Amino acid sequence: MHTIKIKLCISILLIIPICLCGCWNKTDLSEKSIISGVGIDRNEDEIHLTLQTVISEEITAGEEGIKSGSETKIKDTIFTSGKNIFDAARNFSLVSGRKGMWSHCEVIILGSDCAKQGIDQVLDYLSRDHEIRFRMWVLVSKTSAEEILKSKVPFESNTAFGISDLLESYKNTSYVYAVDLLHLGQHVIDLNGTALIPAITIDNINKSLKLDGTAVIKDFKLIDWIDKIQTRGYLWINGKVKSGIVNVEMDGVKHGIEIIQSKTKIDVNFENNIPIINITVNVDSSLGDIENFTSYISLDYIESLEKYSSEVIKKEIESTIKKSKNIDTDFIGFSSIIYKKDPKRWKQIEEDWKSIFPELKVNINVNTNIYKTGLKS
Amino acid sequence: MINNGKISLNQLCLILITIIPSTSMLFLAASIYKKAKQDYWISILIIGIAMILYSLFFTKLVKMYPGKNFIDICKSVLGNKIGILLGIIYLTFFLHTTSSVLREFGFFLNETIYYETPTLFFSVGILIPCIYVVYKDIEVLGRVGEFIFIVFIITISLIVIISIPSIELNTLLPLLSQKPSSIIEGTYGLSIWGGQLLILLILSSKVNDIENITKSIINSVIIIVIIILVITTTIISIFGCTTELLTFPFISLAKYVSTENILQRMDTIILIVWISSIFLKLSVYLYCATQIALSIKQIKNKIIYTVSISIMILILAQTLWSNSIEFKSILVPESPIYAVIQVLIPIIIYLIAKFKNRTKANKI
Repeated sequence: MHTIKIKLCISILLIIPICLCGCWNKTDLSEKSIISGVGIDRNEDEIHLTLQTVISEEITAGEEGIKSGSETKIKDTIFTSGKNIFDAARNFSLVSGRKGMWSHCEVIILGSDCAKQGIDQVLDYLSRDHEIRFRMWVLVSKTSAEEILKSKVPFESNTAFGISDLLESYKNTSYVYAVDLLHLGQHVIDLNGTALIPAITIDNINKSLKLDGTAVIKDFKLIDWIDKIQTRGYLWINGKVKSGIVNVEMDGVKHGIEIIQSKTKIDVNFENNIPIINITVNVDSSLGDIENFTSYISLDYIESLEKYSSEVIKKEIESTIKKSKNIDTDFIGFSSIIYKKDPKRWKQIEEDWKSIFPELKVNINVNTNIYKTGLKS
Repeated sequence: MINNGKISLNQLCLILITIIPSTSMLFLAASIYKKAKQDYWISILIIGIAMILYSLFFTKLVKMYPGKNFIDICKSVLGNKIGILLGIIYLTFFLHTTSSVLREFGFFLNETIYYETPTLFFSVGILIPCIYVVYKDIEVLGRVGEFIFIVFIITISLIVIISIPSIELNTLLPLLSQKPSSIIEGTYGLSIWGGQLLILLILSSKVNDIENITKSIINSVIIIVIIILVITTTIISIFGCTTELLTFPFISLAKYVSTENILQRMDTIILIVWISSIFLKLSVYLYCATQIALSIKQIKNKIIYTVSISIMILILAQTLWSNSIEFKSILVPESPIYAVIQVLIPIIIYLIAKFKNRTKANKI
């Protein structure tokens, strides 16, 4: 009896691995190509995709070993086209002989032509596909997306990963509004097709890529760009400023003040059923640069510098609001802020919002606190 | 191995806590958010209170007839013929629900990870171990439940803890902004989930200490509501208004969360919870269906019932719904037939039983 049981166990153990060895969808790594970044361009009704793939060092080394001496290299960017994105993505295998694996894709770059024709078709494919993750950066390029992915980034061999690094280090300057697919989707739904997407362009001096301002999307279409100061103005309102330098000019002397941390509070008041928005920004900062080596800092000096610095930050915020009113696009999301603070009042004014928005009164109050002055007195 | 055919009260509670949130946590957030928006939590609490009231009725009914399952109770309350008729209705109901669970299982795996594998393959694969567990009887089922409960709780809390850094509480605003009618509509999707307490009526006949059942069941209902509330809050606070567009919000969450680029792509972990809890759920449902069939007609070899029921389930799961859109519609039921079977009939039986007992006591 005992031996029969043992034999049964062993035979079951031998059978189980047969079931475990794979299923319908098994693919070897050599049959797949891992895609790290995608550029989407459009002309009339054709989609052009630029797919950047990851090439493992071993493959490259091996191939180069064979072709030693010659300058040929394995291509890591591949161009395909099709009637829609899905079609173009599949046509990848016509060129490469492999199926693209999108689950490690880190960035999506929309060419400005594509963004001008509408981002909603792109968003639908990206959120429907089962391989794509919502944690993927979205950018708009000022040139075509193809050119962006062709160029190189300083410390990464793979351009897409390099772009992802550029966005992840936005905290140092706060001149960039980094947005992933999920937050772009939320923004678009919340504000009925209005959104902000960071812009990328080619930096001619370094022969590499550079983040430069932000693209404004209205009704799913690219309509305008805002510069880096206006981008930071937007981040101030949203409380997303982490660090960065505020340039303050006082009595003809230039100062660089580093932001250590910031906090934003937004209140909505109603006056005769017309909303008034109060923005309060509290900034902790440190003095890092005075264009005067022999300077001596007194308490009064710091106090007036704090006032000047607050004024500069206020101007940054004002420039954003002014731009937003100029192009008649509520990309800051005041409508959503009012709705979240007071849903009942919002329902009353929702229909008149188009006429209220250009006249919307926004009070800005910035308090800067400089509490460090560095190693020099 | 001692097999006295009974499970302890704790084991019953652990089974309930595992199988009731297991399927719903994947889909529910989307369907509640579509209707109740930021007031989803009120919908969940309403169903929670309803479940507590419901389990009060159930446990009283069960205590009146210890050691008897629901169909036996029906038989002794309403007589043999009507009892058997009700038994057939409930058997059909269980066949339908079990096949929907089976389809859900295949549907989920097919849509998210194994894109080209046919659902039949998953269905057969999971039914075989289920039949084996049911064949080994309730005691083994109880022990399996204990084990799977631990897996379930650990993996769920892991995902929730990892997603804490991505939470934005701003998306939960504004509070209390929806109309009461839309909050009530939000409970539709939840009702099918609350109604699953029905299995209590069948399983309780096999529980050891039936005296303390009320308290334990209410405690486990509270735990279930907390689990659902925590998961839905995490999903909605991260996805915000995009929640309603997602088919499987929970797996999208697991794909999205990451801690400092070290722990990423937790969707494989969801598979652990999903497969293990669906295994338990299917086994319990299969067991219940077998028990109902046994109450209708007693036979010696109950494995015949189990196997034939599972073949029926397999066929139903493949043929009842032709595509995923049709299937998604049953996840948010709109016909009242579920409410009648899951709530109304048991309550009517309870009232009749109480009335009968009182007249009996009066006669004595």
